[in-house]
Amino acid sequence: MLDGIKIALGYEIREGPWGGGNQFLASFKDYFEKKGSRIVHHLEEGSDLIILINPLRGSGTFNHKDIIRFKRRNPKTKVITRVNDCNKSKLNDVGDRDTLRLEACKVSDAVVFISEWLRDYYIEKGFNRGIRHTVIRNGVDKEVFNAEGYTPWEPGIPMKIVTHHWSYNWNKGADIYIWFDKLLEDPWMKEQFEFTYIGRLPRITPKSSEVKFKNIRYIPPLSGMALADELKEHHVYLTASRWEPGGMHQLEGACCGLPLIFNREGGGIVESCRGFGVEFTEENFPISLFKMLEQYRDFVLKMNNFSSTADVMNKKYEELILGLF
Amino acid sequence: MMLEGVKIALGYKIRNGPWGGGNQFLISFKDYFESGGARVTDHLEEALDMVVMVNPRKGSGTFDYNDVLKYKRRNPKTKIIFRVNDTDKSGKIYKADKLRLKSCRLADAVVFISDWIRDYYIERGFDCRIPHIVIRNGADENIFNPQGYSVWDSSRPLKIVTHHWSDNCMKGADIYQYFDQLLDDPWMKQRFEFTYIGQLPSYPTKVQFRNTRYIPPLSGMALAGELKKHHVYLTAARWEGCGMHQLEGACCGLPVLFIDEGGGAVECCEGFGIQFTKDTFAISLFKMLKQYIGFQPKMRTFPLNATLMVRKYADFILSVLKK
Repeated sequence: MLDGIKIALGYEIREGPWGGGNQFLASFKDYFEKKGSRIVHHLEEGSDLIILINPLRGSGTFNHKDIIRFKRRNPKTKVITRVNDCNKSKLNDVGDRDTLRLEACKVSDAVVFISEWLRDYYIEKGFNRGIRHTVIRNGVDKEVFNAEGYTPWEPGIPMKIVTHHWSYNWNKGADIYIWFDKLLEDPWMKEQFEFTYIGRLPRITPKSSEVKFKNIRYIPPLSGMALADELKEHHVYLTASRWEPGGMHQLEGACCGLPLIFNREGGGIVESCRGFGVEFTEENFPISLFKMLEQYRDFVLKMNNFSSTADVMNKKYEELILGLF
Repeated sequence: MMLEGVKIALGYKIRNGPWGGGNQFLISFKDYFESGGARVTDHLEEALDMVVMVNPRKGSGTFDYNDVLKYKRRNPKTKIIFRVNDTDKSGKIYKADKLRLKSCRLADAVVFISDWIRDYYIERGFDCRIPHIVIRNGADENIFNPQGYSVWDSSRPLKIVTHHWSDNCMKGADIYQYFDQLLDDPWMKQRFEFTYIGQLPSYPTKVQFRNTRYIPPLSGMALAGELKKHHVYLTAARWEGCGMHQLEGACCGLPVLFIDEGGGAVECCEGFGIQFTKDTFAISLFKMLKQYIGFQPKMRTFPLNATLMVRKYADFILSVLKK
């Protein structure tokens, strides 16, 4: 039934190591094109469905104001807003983008929140629950991020822990990574753990200098198979990111078979990680490392059940879209 | 014995019960010197051979800096030893570093209770030409000894203990409270237990514990008996002149977890436990789980007991009296 449907996505897809939004676009486009839909990136006449991802002017190919004008001419076109961000995720003052997103929700036939946490966040901010809405969590490409080639940790060697972030945003967990770096100054800790940071190094502001780690292996940003291969060289995935709307990085780690160590203040991350690793707070992060040493065996077996794949996600979008028509 | 007939004035009255390290020192000192034939008084009587000044501040003991100054003018042959056991860095309300340095200049010789405190005063202008020595504190081995201490068997939680007679938060309240928070986690409770003996930290802020066992102040055999019911001693006290509490724990056979900012306490504990920072406290707990057994033979050689300490004082006092 998706055959022939013309869907306008509000972004151009980029190549390389970009954030979760870009991953979503690539996967969505691929899935729906295979189903016979036509994906365009502008508000073309004859579009059956518009997916709005970011209502900020200049951040995508169209925003909610463009949609309002388009809808006047094309009242039958359906609109879905995918809400994937919030002000709380940003450390620096970026202005009130939450209100803008709430406005965008008002012009939508349906709203997708990428986590329950994010849904509840916007409900608290005044989201009108009368608007049709659902939660569809992110999912990663299983063709790329899978457990093939992952070697489980054996006691007697250091447990290799990894994280990756495409953004330098301090809220991605810089304070915890700096703490881990300090802990690794102790040779005894180095016998137990190794830590690799892949991606853009944290900065407090865009103009300030990057954090320099002393005891952490650093790898510049990677994407796709190269990233998956590097993740699989490790045993455990760590995300200290705060107030993530949904997060993609932890899903990529988990789909590669790595049990997770995650921040209780992770926002939408937490619900995707629970049951697949150890949760920590700002205070007890070091404890979570030792908990993982002890509980790793149990978690590694559970990782086979980790189901946040792009396929699962796209099917849910398909159901929602079919429901609208 | 060469101490026979020596008349010494100590500037404090001895108190019974759970008092700080200074009081413990006085008890050990008096016992040893009196058993050697010396006469120990707590006032500036006539014909003293030696005055040991412990606290030069007015009203803090039985005599102060000014009393000793006046006495010395009348009795120039009486030797003065100043035992420097504290600093302004330890968080006391009253500031007395300058007075201590002035007292050092009045003294014929100075005893610092740790290398750390010596270096602290050298940095603040202590005249190194004044005869001086470091004599660390020691715990009474008749009370604080490993007899009755049960070695941890790893199938049970590691029982950790601390004790403080003072309510000053500088005694490590932040770390104890952090430990208490860590014990919110049932997984941690299966591995560790924490007991706090003494006055609860209340200055400048009141601290309350949720997961820590609390025992009111204890002293002597009762304290030693309680310490020995635990496996590891923890001290998070900052900038201690030397500290007595950690020595009492160590003399009972308990390996010590000690903070890097412990001042003179650090040099006493090195080799007999694990040092931590505020950042590494949590991992020091796990390090202790792994390394505990390795510390056991070492604890039997912990050297800082009261007999050793007072012998050093006796040797030093006699050498000063000979000059």
